[in-house]
Amino acid sequence: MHNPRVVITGVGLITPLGDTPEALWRALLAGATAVRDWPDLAAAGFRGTRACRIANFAADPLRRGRALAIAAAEQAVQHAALTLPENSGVFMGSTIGESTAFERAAEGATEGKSIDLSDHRVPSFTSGVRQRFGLNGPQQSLATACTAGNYAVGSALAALRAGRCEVALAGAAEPFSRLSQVGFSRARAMAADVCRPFDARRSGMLLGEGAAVFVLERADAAQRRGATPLAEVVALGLSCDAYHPTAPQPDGLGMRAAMQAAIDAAAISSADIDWVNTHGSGTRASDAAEAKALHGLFGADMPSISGSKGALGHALGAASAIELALCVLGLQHQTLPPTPGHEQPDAEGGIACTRAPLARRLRWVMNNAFAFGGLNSALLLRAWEA
Amino acid sequence: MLLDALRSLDFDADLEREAMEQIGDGIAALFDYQGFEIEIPRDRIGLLVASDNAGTATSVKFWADALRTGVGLASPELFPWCLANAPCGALARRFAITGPNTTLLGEADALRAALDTSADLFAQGHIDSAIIVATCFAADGQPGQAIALRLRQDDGAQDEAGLVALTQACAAPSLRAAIDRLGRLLEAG
Repeated sequence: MHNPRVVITGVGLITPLGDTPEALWRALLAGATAVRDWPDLAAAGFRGTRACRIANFAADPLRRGRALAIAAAEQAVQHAALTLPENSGVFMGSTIGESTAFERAAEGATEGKSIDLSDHRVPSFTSGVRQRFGLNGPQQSLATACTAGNYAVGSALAALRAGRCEVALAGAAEPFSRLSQVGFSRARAMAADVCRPFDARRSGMLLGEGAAVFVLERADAAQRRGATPLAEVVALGLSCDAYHPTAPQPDGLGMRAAMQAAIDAAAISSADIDWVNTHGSGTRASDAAEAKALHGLFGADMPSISGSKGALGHALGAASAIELALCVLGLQHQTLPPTPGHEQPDAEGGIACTRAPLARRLRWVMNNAFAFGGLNSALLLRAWEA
Repeated sequence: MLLDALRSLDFDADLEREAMEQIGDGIAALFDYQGFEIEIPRDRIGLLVASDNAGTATSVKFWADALRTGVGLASPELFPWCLANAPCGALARRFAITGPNTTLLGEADALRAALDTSADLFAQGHIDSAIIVATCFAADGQPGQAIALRLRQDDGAQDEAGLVALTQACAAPSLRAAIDRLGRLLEAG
């Protein structure tokens, strides 16, 4: 079947390391990290008090996720220099939604008070963006945990190809979640100090927060209006481990299947991939499984590998959207970012990641994201070529 | 795209984990593909959950328990069920479905999105069958409700009546109303 080409023409993001794409890019290349201790977590008795939070973003705590989503969308639309058609689609992902509202509901329940949660779930992010721009096109609220950004952009790609909309806003948002901070700590997934993706000394992840939103449109329409595509969105590969509620399939076969599905859908070979932005959460099990998947897929032709969670933390539902923005920036700059926290790969079956900015010709980049529940996703971007 | 089976049930479990046991029992027959001309591999089946409130009940319980016990003793078993995608993951494990696994939140629009996503996965050649579970977990004194449907791609054949009924259900004002409409479709045969 003929697939119309779909491109990204605008990127917006809010992260703990920068509130514009270029600010984030500069900080990441300079080796900055957003990890710090948070006294409020210590005061509340949290075992883990380190995280990557956005210190300077003011919002109603019960609407922080929606505010992040709207702020990122505003940037993306401005970047695309586009008046959105009313029938533009909105595809937003997240993990829990407004976590603070859920926490307040629980606190209220213990104090005889209640809170209506129906307007604090993931769809409130989607409706917030739609209302901000007065849109009435197709909408999806993807609750696929740490893969949500990839899923949202993949859904927008499919909707544009199917002709359900002319333009789409797609991305993900995640406010910092005390509930998740406790939950991942109790799941023994958290690092005590530093997140070290694919490092032999890795001990877990650190939580982050943020949002990234993209303007997607068909390439022919973008060119007609004189826009310069930033990158082409080509394929999303998906699979499910069907193995364990939280642990990945140790042999990485499910992750590999998602990567292979993306490659097959793009009608390319693994040798075409120049760069993999890994999920690289820094946990023992997930990084080991992803390493096996990468070795199994690429063999001796391993592309350049990077990961950013050592600097940004794991923004859960927003992580793959933020990291997709880094992929777009990397293609634009023809440079891979460093992998903060990564110093020494595992002696056996390890993956060597970038340790400094790496300038090289980049045409194809794969953005990996995996999640509790066994969800695996790989999104393929190509540098724009008319 | 063919709508080839529907299953409907109400359930009484308060939390998602227990509810998914009941839902899984009630819709197990949809995962039996024996009798088809061509065997459908488990990685060629898409699994989609559309829900208005997945993850909510467990999230509130998890945090209420954590406040009571202290955060250092919060339940590690309960936490994964705070995530809205946990029900779809549980179905995948129970029925060994390794194809695309998608959770969409919303009202009837979530069911619409699940249908669109299924159509996209068929069109892109990623799957041969999709199972969509639309569910409202018990909340605010209302019992849990679920309906599951199985779709197949069959050489471009279309089940016009079935798909029209699905489209009408997607126009309902809420997911519960959409499930009711589909339930009536099932009763009508």
